Amino acid sequence: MVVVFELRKGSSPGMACEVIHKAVCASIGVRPSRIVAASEGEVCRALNGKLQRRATRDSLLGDRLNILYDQVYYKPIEESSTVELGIEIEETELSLRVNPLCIESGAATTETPSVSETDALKIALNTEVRENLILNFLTNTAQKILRKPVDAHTPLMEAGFNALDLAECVIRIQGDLIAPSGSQLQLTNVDVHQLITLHSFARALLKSSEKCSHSILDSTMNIEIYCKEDSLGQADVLDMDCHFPGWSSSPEELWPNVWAPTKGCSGMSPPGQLHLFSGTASPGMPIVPRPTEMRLLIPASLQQATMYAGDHLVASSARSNYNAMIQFGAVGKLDVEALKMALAFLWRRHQVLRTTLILQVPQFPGLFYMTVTKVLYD
Amino acid sequence: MTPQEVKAEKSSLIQIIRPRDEPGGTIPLEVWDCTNGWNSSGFDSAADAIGDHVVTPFDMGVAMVRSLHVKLPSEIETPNKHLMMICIHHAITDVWSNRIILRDLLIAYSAYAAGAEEPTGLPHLPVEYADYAVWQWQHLEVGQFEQQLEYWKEQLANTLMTLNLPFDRERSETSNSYEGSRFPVCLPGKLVVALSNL
Repeated sequence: MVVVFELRKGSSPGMACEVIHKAVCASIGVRPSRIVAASEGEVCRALNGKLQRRATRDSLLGDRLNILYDQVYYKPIEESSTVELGIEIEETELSLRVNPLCIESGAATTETPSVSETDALKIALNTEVRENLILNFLTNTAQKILRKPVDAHTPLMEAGFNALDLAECVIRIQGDLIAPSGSQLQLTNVDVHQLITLHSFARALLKSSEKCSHSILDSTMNIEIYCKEDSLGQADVLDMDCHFPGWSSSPEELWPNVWAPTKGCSGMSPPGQLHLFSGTASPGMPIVPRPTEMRLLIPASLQQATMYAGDHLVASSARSNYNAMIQFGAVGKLDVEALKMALAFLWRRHQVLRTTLILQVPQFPGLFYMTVTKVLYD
Repeated sequence: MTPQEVKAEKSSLIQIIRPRDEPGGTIPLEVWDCTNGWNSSGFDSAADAIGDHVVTPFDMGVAMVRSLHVKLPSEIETPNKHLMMICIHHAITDVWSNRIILRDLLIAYSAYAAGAEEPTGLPHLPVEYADYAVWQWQHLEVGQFEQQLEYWKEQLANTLMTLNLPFDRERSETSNSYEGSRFPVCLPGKLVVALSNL
């Protein structure tokens, strides 16, 4: 998989590549083989702004892309089969959303030698056959769990796998698959989001069994998906702009910049306590019952002043925008006397229900009622 | 009150809490009897009454709470249907407080309907909203507001940096319409954990 992205002027391409590499690995479990930083406007888009992967791929392969930085992570493995990844990462409200991965493969699973499942990993066959064996085993296992055929190239999530199903699948694999050394295959940290399809799952298993062909399998192995590619490489576009405020080129840089300002980035942490208006007591000044001389005559809070002003300044004085309703229905005989008593009880119990707001000459200097009204007028 | 009056120099807003033992002190209750069908009182007038109850502004110097009990038209299966509404100005309540008030009302009603002297089992209220207002005012008194105001004025004085979040398309340099939209998305649990660890 090759990632092409546009780099804004002044951003660090190396850092951006690192971030993208990490993000892609973390989101979809695929390591990009190559990340290309192109200058702005180089990634092809349709008129409606939609990314055009194929066109971008063609201009990359046809050397028509203005490349600023080219980071190759590993050489695509020569293989006859073609794996095409359709990956789309959309940015919406700061959240990464990964479309279900579709792995379309030309690697045909035409013939599956009839070998017993438990022997699958013991047989020294060429890679492709072994892969097919494992895939066959996985397909059978998945079918047993879901009670319906599961296509090798359908994302597990789409096939109806949930976390429990996956757990069961892993347990069955552990029980049935024997690593080359004869020890049990340990699968931990298996993530249904990472083990995208049965096909890629099979590849992962194969990879891990190859890795550990001479020793006991690592008991805490993480399954990683490696995607083999055709020799041309597959251009795919990750639509991500790695430019952050304060000229940070990565989220890692962003946060220190925000909280401890450096070069041209203003810090946003206010001095002292932040929770002045939050209603939460600060450690130094807890909210305590007010002094007796302020039992009944109290300054309005800023929030009250705001709402008071809002209620008096709105265009129509016949409607209030600040009336809150408590309403409920009741069926049956209503004890009206009890209801009246309950209302009186509420009135006695809660000071707020006995509160009235009055505009007066300054009794409490330092109150900002005027500030509020001025803002509304200006 | 007209806006001009509000703008009068150097006025300040105070809250006066009426004494707990004020004779006859209670939440005003209006009752609308529509048991014999909307026709007896007129559906329109009943609907108007309910509407008025909801939107009519309070004279905040007198009271900021009122209630309405509507006896709904009887039906054969459900002869006794009631609608109970309590209208409270937002300056003295919010969603969370409404929940408490409703809870207390139902507890009190059940207790009185069962013949109890006083409702029991409700929590003691050591601190109330007025205590918060005083607490806030004390903070203002020691100049915290000016301090915060100065700080933020300074922070926001110059042209704000453009926040270049990873948008799906180029930010327009010329026309910022401020038109927006919401796109709720479900994030995988792992991503949420990773984000909160940022």
